[in-house]
Amino acid sequence: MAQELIRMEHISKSFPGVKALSDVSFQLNAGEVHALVGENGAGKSTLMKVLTGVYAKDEGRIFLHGKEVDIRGVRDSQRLGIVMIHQELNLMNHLTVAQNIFIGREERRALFFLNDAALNRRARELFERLRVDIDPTVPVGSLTVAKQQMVEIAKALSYNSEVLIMDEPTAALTDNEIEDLFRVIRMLRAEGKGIIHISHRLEELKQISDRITVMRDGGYVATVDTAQAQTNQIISMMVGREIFITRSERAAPQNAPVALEVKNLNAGRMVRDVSFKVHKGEILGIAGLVGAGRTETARAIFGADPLESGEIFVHGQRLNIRTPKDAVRAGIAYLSEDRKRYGLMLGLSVQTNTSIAAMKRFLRAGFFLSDAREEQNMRKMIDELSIKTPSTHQLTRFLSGGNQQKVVLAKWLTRNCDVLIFDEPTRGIDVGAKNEIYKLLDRLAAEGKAIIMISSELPEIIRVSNRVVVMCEGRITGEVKGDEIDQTTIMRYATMREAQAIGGE
Amino acid sequence: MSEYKLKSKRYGGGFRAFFFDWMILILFVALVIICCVSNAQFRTMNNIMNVLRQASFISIIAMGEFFVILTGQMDMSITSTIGMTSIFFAGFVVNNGMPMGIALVLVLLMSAVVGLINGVLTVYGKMPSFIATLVVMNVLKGLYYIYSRGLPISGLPSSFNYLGAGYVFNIVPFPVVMMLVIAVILWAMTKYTAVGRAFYAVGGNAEASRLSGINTRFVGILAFVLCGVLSSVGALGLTARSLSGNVSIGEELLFDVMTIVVLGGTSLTGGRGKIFGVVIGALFLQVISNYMVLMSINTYWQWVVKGIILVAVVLIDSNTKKD
Repeated sequence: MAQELIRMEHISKSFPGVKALSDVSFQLNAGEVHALVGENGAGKSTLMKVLTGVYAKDEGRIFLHGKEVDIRGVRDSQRLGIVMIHQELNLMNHLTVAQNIFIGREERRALFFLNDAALNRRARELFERLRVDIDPTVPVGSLTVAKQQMVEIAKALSYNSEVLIMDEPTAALTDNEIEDLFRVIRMLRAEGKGIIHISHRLEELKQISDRITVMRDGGYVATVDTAQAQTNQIISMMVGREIFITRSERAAPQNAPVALEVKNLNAGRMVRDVSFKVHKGEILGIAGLVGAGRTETARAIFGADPLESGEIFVHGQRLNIRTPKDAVRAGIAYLSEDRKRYGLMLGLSVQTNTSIAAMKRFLRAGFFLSDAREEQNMRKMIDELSIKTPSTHQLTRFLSGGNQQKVVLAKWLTRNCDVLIFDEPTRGIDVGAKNEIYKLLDRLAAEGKAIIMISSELPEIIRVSNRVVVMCEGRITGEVKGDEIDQTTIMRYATMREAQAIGGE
Repeated sequence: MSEYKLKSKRYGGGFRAFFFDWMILILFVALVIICCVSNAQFRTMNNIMNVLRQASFISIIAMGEFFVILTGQMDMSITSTIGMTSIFFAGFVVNNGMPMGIALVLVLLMSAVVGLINGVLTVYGKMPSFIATLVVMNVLKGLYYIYSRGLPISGLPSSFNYLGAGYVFNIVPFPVVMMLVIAVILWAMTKYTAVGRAFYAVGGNAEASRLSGINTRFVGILAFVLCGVLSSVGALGLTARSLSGNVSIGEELLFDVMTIVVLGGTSLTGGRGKIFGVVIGALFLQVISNYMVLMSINTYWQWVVKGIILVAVVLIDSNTKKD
């Protein structure tokens, strides 16, 4: 019997109007990687915030090494050796690696002067232990996200933590970086630490975890041994029903005219000699690893970032797109992966957000905005896209992620855009809402829109695309269509670096 | 399709948000009632009209600043725009014998150019607006002190006095009518025109606005130009009251203007605010000043009281969760 580190019993937590956790229990052993999965809003993060003292629990008990503990704040949990590494890393970019690790508990000389040399030495020891190559004296901002994560892990170890909670640690990493992270996690496991791993990526949980606990709607569903768990079984526990990822039955359009064509686009290091076409009624997937230049390509087409060279044709006509305004006028829409930053004004109503790109449509006498016409359009969109909002004047920040995404879509449909570029349209939204988005994409294509979908999730690309172009290091390395679309082919292209791509031709 | 029933309209955010939006109005009504009950002099028609007239020009200036703050920026240069307007208008008319109409158009244009410079430095130059407008404020001040050697220019025709002290129908001060007309026009612009909507969009999320095809640079610059022109209009009214151009006429107004804009419910981070909030903010501040004068409280106490009000409002705004 493994030694128990943490036991949480019958934890409940309410926020005004919402029961976030109800009677949840969780247990973690020493030397174990325990995965915590569930849709967005299932309560994973809330449970972990209770464990780390960010939130106070309403009911329930927490035990560490079999003894009940009272955790009232992050300082308490840190003292007990429980550390959480958040998805958005909490590092100060301008300070050095070592300064970040020991912030707030720096060694001093003569009570007053900081001893940076000692900090650097101790940081170096931590990295040697982790066997990662990071210079403690460089500013954290100059490191890749993966290395910044290692800095966070080193920081956690410097507190002599026994329990490490990682929230979606692989979301922003490349495959190689994930391997490295997993190596470190396995090492920590071998040292007897307990690791709680929150993730959406079921495939990677199979590689790294020992047990999986599933949560749904703030409640505990089940805990299973990873070795015996089937992926479909876990998914069905997460959503409460069986779902299977199947390819869309919508056929590729025959002889449809080209809606958008780009030739030899160049923009910085991330967009190099990119050419492709999208037809009316077609969904073109753009696959590739994070950092392959997909978002940069989309932004360049949309005029959000300057283009160095290349040609853009919309419906056969060559256009000079220099600003997003030009692109919108040409009927191109871009739905960013970071909708809160690039897609929405969260403090304004859903109706305002929906009409903001097409205000001319709602002018009376060519000058005055008509609230009635805006509302009529908003209601139509709410109906067509099943946007869940209590009123047309609801502030956008109160909507769920999936519904916010639909508001962005409503904005572009209101503008009558017929070339739609979706950049990671399902990021951060739950499985049920994802399915709705897929159906929506299918329907839009059936209505004759030309759709480009950028996604890092291969099953998603495979499910919706008629054709897929694959990028690696700013270049298009391959194209697959119809029945040839499968994970292995795409991954082969996605990892085809420049030397191979040229050698292969 | 959607099983969600749509409520007919309005308040996203519920009663709390409604209350917060109009809290200033409720407080203002309460303040006026207290003043009326406790001081017989306050509630005379004469005094009330006086308060309204004093509030009118500063609220026109504050409406200009409102647009800049709405887009998430700040304009420190209004004090100099006011001084410039006053001294050059008087100079053009008195020293150069220019007809008042032409001088008026000229100073308004000059103020628009000042706004344009502020806007270009901020939007194209990507300077923090605080610094850009602080620089413009000082440079401008230097220029008009050189022009006037710091001395006031008096001797404006007495007909000009109507702008500052005239009455409509022998009862309503002309400045009050002017303020209301400007407020209604600007309110209609913010609520019913595309460009008005764009101010809120840019203040709410500039990058998302740009990616929605809004010309964010134009909107950003327009805010500063509006601020310049409206400051100038207010300055002309202040000049008309004394019938002389004065370089220092605007020097103490910046603090009051900022207080008024914030008091009116405008978010300092941009994207939220109402024109009529600004009007009420101006009235609020003026009632307090007036009441303190009537109670013969030392004028210096006004600075202390206004400071406390500004801190209180910003504290409440910064610490109230609106989501």
